[in-house]
Amino acid sequence: MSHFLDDRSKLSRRAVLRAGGVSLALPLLEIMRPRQARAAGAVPKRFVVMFTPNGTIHPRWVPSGSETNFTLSPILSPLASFQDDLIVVDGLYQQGGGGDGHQTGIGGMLTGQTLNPGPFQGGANAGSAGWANGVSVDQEIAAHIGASTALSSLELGVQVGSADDWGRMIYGGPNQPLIPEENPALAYQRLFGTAGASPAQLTSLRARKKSILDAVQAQFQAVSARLGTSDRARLDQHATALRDIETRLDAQAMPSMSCHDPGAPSLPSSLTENDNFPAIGKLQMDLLALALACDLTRVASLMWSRSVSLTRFTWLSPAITDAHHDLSHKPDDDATSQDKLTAINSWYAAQFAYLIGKLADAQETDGTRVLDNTLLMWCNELGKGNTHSRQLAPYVLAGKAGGALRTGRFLSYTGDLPHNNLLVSLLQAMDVPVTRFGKDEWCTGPLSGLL
Amino acid sequence: MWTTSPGSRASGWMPRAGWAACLAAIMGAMACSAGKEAAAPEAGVAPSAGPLCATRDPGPSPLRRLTRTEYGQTVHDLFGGDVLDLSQLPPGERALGFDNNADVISTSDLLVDAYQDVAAQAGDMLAGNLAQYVPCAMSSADADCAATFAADFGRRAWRRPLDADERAALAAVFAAGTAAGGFSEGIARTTAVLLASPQFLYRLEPGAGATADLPGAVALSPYELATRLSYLVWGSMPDETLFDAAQGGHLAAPDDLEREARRMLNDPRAHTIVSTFHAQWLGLDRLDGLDKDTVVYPMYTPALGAAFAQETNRFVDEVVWNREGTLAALLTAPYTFGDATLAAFYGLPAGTGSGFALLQTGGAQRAGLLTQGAFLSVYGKANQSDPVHRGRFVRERMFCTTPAPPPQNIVIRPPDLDPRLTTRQRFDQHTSDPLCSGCHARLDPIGFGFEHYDGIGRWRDMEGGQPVDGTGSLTETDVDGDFDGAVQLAGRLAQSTEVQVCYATQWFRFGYGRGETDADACTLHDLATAFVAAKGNIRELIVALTQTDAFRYRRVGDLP
Repeated sequence: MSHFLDDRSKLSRRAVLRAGGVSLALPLLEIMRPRQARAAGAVPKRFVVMFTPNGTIHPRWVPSGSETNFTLSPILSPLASFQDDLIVVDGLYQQGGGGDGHQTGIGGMLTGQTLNPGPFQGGANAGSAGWANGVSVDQEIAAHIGASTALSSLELGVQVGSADDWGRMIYGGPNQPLIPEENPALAYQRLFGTAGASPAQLTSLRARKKSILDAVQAQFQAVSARLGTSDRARLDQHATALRDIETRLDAQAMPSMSCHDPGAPSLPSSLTENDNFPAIGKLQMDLLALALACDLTRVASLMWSRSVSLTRFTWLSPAITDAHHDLSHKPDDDATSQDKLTAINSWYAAQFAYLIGKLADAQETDGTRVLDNTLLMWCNELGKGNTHSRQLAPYVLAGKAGGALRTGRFLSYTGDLPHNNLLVSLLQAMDVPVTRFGKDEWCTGPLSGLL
Repeated sequence: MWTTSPGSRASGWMPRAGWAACLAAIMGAMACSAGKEAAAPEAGVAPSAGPLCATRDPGPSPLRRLTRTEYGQTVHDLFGGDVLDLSQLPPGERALGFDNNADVISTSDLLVDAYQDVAAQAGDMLAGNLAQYVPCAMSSADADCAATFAADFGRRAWRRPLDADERAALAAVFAAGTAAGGFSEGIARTTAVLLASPQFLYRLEPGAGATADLPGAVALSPYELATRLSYLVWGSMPDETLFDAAQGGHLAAPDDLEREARRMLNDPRAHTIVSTFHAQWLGLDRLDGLDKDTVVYPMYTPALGAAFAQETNRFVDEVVWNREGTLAALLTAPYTFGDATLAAFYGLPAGTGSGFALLQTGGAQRAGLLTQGAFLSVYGKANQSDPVHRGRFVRERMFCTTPAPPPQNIVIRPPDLDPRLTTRQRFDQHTSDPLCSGCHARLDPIGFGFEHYDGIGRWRDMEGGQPVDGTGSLTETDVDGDFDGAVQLAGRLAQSTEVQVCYATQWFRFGYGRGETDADACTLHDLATAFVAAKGNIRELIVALTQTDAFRYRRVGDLP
């Protein structure tokens, strides 16, 4: 086996029937059966995070106009057909601490927390840091609404490429990053791998998996007794995951009208080649939307690259061959670079529009749009790339969260309010009864005027 | 878990500027032994402030889990081949350059689900090959056979004999499986449980009780030492010889560990470990999927990247196992390996035959790791060279120092690709602007020494229509001074004691799966001393890694 090459980008042919996998919860027959009308209010709410890196160009991002009568900016113009479903949130300060600017940014973006001390040596020689010191907003939501789905949450990535604190934004708790799945074929397997199985086969697989899980959990208990506190804490995390997986074997999905098995995705030749970035992203967005439509999960996130992204946007016209991070550090008076960064962020806006569109097209059992029961958040690790400033952090929300949000608005805040407050409001919109989130000293309650 | 005591270095992850320098300065000036007062430093030798080796301490032993690579090698050895599809196992977290840092590992549903799936897959595979894996099934496929299988295979999978409770638990698994689907289902489930259990996935070390040898320390059991040895030298499970030594009580004293380590160094798996270390230390696993601008570098293809990887791998293997075996040789040897394409790339006469052959480089433009395409491409931007990161690599990974952070809120920007200027000219602001120079003065003068090699490691005499200036200088090291080109730089690094100490520290991190802490001062001192005494022999360093307190013990406080 080569130690220089990662073979995870290749997926060998495997039987449709996997011996394990949480997708046991959704047999094919369930997916394909005609839907019955469901009582109003029974439709679940969903939460989605989309991350893009390296900051934005604020003057070209911020809309103009008033709260309900505004014009989208050059960067946000690809979202025009969904303007009535958006809330653009301007002027917040994205809190965080520890490490270099990018580490701070992506670590605090969804947690509202600092990074703990740790061994990830910062770039620009900024000292080192570890993982974030708290749960991320999506996982907080999953803890409340994700109990009954096959997956507690779904983390997907597009050429994230680093397994350190520049490449992780989702946290189950302090020092507990969750790994994004970067391979659409593996994501498909995890979601739909048993789609071809009969109910009898699924029952037998489920029984087998339970029996194995029970025996394994018993071993975790047995060995923990002989170990010290810190070893035991690590094993406990593993044991908790086992319990969670076992509970979800019996998950009963409430799929929407639009749920279907998309078939195994057709992968591009290389998952790591720069120019395949858009194709991989599209496959992931399609899977994410379907995972929600099939009620395999109600919480999902999509990471485009990582903080300090080096993506080269060669598919734009004209092609951009500079690495994104290098461009993001050009000065404000470099017009060519500002134009390139505008094009990049505008392309990302188009991807957000695509994702929104998939959820707008997906139909609930009562005929409404899945989008109307979803809350999407597009966020960035930074506000301004060339100074690493997290002031004027760009947030775009989409979807009505089941009626909790009045959309079609542009909200502009002053005074560097912490983004923790936004996260609190999002939690409340998702029926999580909190008034604080993240680091206590930063948060001053929900974001006024949002809900 | 993470604490910083005032006045001392942060535990484990932030090598203080000059740590390797400190050790290098005091080595030979004082002995490291418990209970003795630290000897006064030699006149004229001023070690930097901080803890010196005064108290022996095994240091922390964070719970280690099999890495992605170790998992693969282990199941290869367990099943006698690459018979499982491991593609769904996610890559592990990387810290301090290595993928086995136990302080940063994470556990998620995705990962645990993957472990369950692969374990079940292993069960199905094994149950489909009973003749090979469960020979007693051929004559009597019954509970006794299953019990024999669980005990024998289990001992290998869990790296120690199973106790009565464990055997009983597996018997129950077998019984339930048999009831559901006969003997093969029973065996399949037993196998799955064995591979999904913590005794397989984690390197559990309940220990063998407090030891009189070292206050505050717990001795490791022979099987635990066998596991530490096999994963250090092979990245995999123990073999039967090691198991026998553990069982027979011949795996306790340092001599035992040395004997086994030397035996194990003769195995091909030791080659793999050395290769893995260098690939990670040099960042070369980023070669896979490395992005280069094909307009600027049309000849860079994934195939060329793969050739670079193979070249460095063959080179390291040759130096360490067939020739001098020293760090100095890795840095300065005037030969490499390549096929005809690579030979042409380097402007060297092709070797004999097709495929990869030994290439003599002459030592003027190419000599050692830092002049090979792999290193230069990884530490090269998509469309230009990268003096800052090349300089940073030397500072961080070869001297183990960390320059000071830059001022906040400055616009940090790399220069434009101006075809009329050389890289050095374009980076001029680093030295002229006082906001930048404090940090960059430590990095750029080293990195500029690599300017004869472009972003994919090709030699160039001209850039931007002007002759390349490949001169550079080293400061704040034990080998300060000007140099001309990377070959000279490498020669200077090969003479540095600080570089040797830092290299030993890198092996500490990789070998023990954690960053060094203040408590490891004596262990680091022992390693550095042994390495220097062995004139930088890497195989001897690996043996030395088995002789330290950090390797042989763990702390009493870690256990109930």
